[in-house]
Order: sequence, then structure tokens, then C-alpha cells
Amino acid sequence: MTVSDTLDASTLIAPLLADRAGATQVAVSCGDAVLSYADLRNAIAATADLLRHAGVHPGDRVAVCLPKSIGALTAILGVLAVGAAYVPLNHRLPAMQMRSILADLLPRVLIAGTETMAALAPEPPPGLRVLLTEGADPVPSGSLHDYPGTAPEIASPDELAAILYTSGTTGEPKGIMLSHQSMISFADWAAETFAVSAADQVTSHAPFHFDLSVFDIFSTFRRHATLHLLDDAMVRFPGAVRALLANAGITVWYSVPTALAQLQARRALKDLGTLRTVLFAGEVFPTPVLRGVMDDLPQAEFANLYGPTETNVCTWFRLPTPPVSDFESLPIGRPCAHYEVTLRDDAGRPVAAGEVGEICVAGPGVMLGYWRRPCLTAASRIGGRADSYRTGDLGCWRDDGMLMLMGRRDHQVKVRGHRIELLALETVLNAHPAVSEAVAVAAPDSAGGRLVAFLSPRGTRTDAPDPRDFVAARLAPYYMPDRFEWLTELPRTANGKADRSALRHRATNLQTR
Amino acid sequence: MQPVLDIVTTWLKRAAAPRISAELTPDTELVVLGILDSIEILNLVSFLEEHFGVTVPIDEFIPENFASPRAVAELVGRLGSVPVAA
Repeated sequence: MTVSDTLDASTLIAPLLADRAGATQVAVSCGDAVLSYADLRNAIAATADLLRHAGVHPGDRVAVCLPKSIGALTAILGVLAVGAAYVPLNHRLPAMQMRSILADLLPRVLIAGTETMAALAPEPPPGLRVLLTEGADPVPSGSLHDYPGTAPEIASPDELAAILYTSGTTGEPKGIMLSHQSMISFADWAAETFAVSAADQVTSHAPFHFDLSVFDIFSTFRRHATLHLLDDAMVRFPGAVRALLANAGITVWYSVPTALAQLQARRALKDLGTLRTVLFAGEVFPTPVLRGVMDDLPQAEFANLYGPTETNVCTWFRLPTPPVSDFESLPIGRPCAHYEVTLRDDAGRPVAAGEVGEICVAGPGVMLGYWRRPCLTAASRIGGRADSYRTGDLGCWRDDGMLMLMGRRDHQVKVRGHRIELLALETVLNAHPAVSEAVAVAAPDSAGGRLVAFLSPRGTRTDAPDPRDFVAARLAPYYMPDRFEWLTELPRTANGKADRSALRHRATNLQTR
Repeated sequence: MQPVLDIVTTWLKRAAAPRISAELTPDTELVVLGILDSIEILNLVSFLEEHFGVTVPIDEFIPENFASPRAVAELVGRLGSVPVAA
């Protein structure tokens, strides 16, 4: 029996397992390792056998905690082939967070390396079954280990394909449950919209535990294109990324804006004629930096994708031309196929045309819910509708039907009695000629709060105006930060976004001058 | 003049102190062990460029050149023809 016999056509990986793609077509590369679609199918079948042997059943959850590698990828696909849900975890998570996620998730099996298990060793979660492997080989070649104790049984929702954990600011792990349907809905929309075909060479820049990887893995494999994994080491070195882009003839790139900004700063995006589509998501792209990236890649189409992990990508905007002014904000565009996007007030009522409201999303792409968090799930729905989600982001429809991001509900801060929208301040600072990226945070203090702007430098301009004058000329006086802090590099989360909570912490600790 | 390797090692000890579990030797694996995260790599390159007056070209900005303190010092030596070790 081959693995494809056991699957119905509606699963995420059914098109990958079907024998349509030429056996010799390359499915995935990572460094020197290359797997054809035939190799990949064999590796998935072998991994699935191993998982069944380890007691994994359809509907189970399997945590995959490996460095980015072909082995990690086939582990994920093998889990899906068994009919279980994969839960990708960052293998560099501190042991305490890892324990708290595993205690929340109660996976049937954890696939992890010796380093992770050594970190967990003092207090391994009871009842944990571990498939020990290093992820270096396409098929896990390690051994099974059982930890004493019994894990409680928890029924799984139907059709669960993946749980993606996000690091909530409170530290409580929050698992976002995505169904096959929701992931297929997004992956196929993206493959269709950006015309992904078997001829494409697609990068996998984001880590597998980050939702951007849903496009990388599934839009690519569902169209029998070739996926190029950027592993943990490569992704940190612009020279290595540049070499891959040029040598593999990459055609489609998807990442957070920061990754593109760092490459552009090193002039690593010049003369890449094959790159036809550049997609970015996850945070606001500072406009001047985006213009620089677009200038370096004149042949490529650019699109801004928007959506929290809870909804997948739900709106998108194709940039017809680079923004003309540094102060121009980029639309997040129109709803993707199958999504209904409305703007609502605090009471959940739709706002009038032209007004700012919370971006609310409904449709089959929306998550099943938060894993074992029924109250949190209920609070995130609109009027009890099960396929809906309140994003916490603020938006406004422009006259031409484009949705503009206006900030986050929880980034509207009150400083000394004035309501301040941090995004508005950041947009102005991002346009400053010596700034590459700005993050504004409000730090509490006894005098009603202080506003701190963290700036990372762009180039070595010495004739640039004082950021203080720059803000004074463009925003209300109460928008003036109490401090401007220059940092060579802003701190980043594991997903590559600016780490706002680290900056808030830093701002709180700054001594008042 | 202080050898490049010493300067690089001193910088690494200060910048990456929380991630260095054992003693930092010239051959400690910086990338494999995760001692240099993505931010520290960019900070290190900024430091090298400023301190030694060199420019790290894009083709040299690769894991091999940052594999260990020795590899970093050799890179600086190659780019700026300064003495790598005493």
C-alpha cells in the first residue's frame, strides 16, 4: 500500500502525493541536499510508517521541534500523511516555554533532537513519547523513547491540520488551530494569484513555526514547484542568501520586510533577473526602504499580504509602482478570495464609510479556534459566528476600495492624557532620510507615561535633519517622543519582526534625563 | 598593535556573553552553536567595518567566514591586510 491510498483528495498534501509530478522534478533543496518528488514521496511514506509504529493515529497531534532541514519538512509532511496534525516548534525556545507548550499541547509524539531533549531533561513532561532524530536525514533515523507517566487523552477537532503557537505577550502559550480547509483555501488562492507553476523556484525563508511557511510549503508543493529551504545558518548571512537567489534562479520570494531590507542594505538584490514575484507580510514595510528594494528589482511584481495567523492571509495589495513619496502608507488592499472583511466599532457594529474600525474577518480561511482555550476563542469571534475573527487591528477603507492599516487597538496609547497612534509616529519616522526602521513605544512612568522612539540608521547621512524637528514639522506636539534612541539593529523576535515587548522593556528601564 | 583575533574575541565575549556556555576559543563554533544570532552578526559586521576600516563585500558575508573567531579574524586580515595574530 502506498501512502496516497490512505488519503482522500481533500487533504493538504493529496496533490503532492498524487503521481502527477515527474519523478525527477526537484521538490526541495537545502544546501547540498536535493530531493526529487519521487524521493520526497518515499521519504513521506517511510516517515508515516515510522509514526504509525510510534502509535500516531489520525486526529493526533505531533510536535516537530527540529532545526530547519529537509528532515523537519518530511516530518511535517509525514504527520499529515498519517492524518494527524503537525505542530512546528522553534527548537531554540527556552526550556521553560517548551515545557509549557508541551504541557498545553499533549502531543502523541514529539519529534526532536538530542539538544532539545537535553534542555528538557531535568523535568521532561510525563507521558511524553519522543522520536529522537537530528533532522539531518530525510527520514528520521533515530529511536523512540517513552517518559514515565500517562498523558491525559484529549479529543481533537475534526480536520485539524496544524497548530501554530504564538508567543502571547503574557507568556501564555496560545495554539492556533488551522484546518486542512483553511490552509488549502489560502495556499490555493496564493498559488493561483501568483501563478505558481512547476517551473517555479520558491524560497522558504520563514521558520516552519511561522505562518508564512504555509505558503512556502503548500502553495509550492500543491503546484509541483521547487522549494529551496534557507536553513537557520544561511538565513543570517546576506551573502549566502544572495548566492542561493542567483544560483538557484529563484523566481518567488516571501518573507518579512526586514529580511528584504537587510539584503538591500548590503546591495544583495541587484541583478537578480529571474526573481519575478516578491511577497512580504508580518509587519509594516518602511516606505523608503521598500522603494529601494523595488528599484533594485525592477522586473519583479510586489505584493503586500496582510493577515494574522488566526486568519491566514486575508487581504492583499499588488503594488502597481513604487510609492512616490516616503510618507505614503501602503494599503493592505482588498480581501482575498473567500474572505469577508468588515470594519466594526467596539460594540461590534459596522462603522460608517470612511471611518476607522477594527478589522473583522470571516470565511473558511479563519482558524478553528485556540487549542484548549474556548473562552479566548469565543471572545475573538464576531457575534458568535464560528468562522470569524476580530483582528485587533484598525483599518479604514480608502475611496478606491483599498483597505488602509491604521494601527493596532492596543497600540493606541495614552501619553499624558493624549491618545497617540504609534503607527502614525512610526510612519513619519520611517520617512526620515537617516532612518531605516522606527519603532515607537509608550513606557509607563509616574508622570503619565513617556514616549520613546527607537531608530535604526540607514546609510551614513550626516546632513539629515534632527528627528525632533522632523516630527515637530509633521505631527501634533503631543506626538513628540520624550527620547530618541538609536540602535544599530533593532531586537527581533524569532520570526524576524521587531521585538516590541523587548523595546517596551528597554524604554521602561531608560533613566529619565 | 593589538592582534585582530584578540579584538574580535573581546567583542564576542561582551556581545554574546549570555550564549557562551564554555570558554571562547579561537575555534569555538559561532554559527553552529548559535552564539551569533542574526542581530549580533549584523552588529559584528558593523563593528568590524568601523573598527578596522574594512568593507565586508556581499560575497564574503557567508557562514564560512563567521564560523569561529579565527575565521572572522582571517576575514578581516584578508580584507584589510592587518596582522591577524601576534
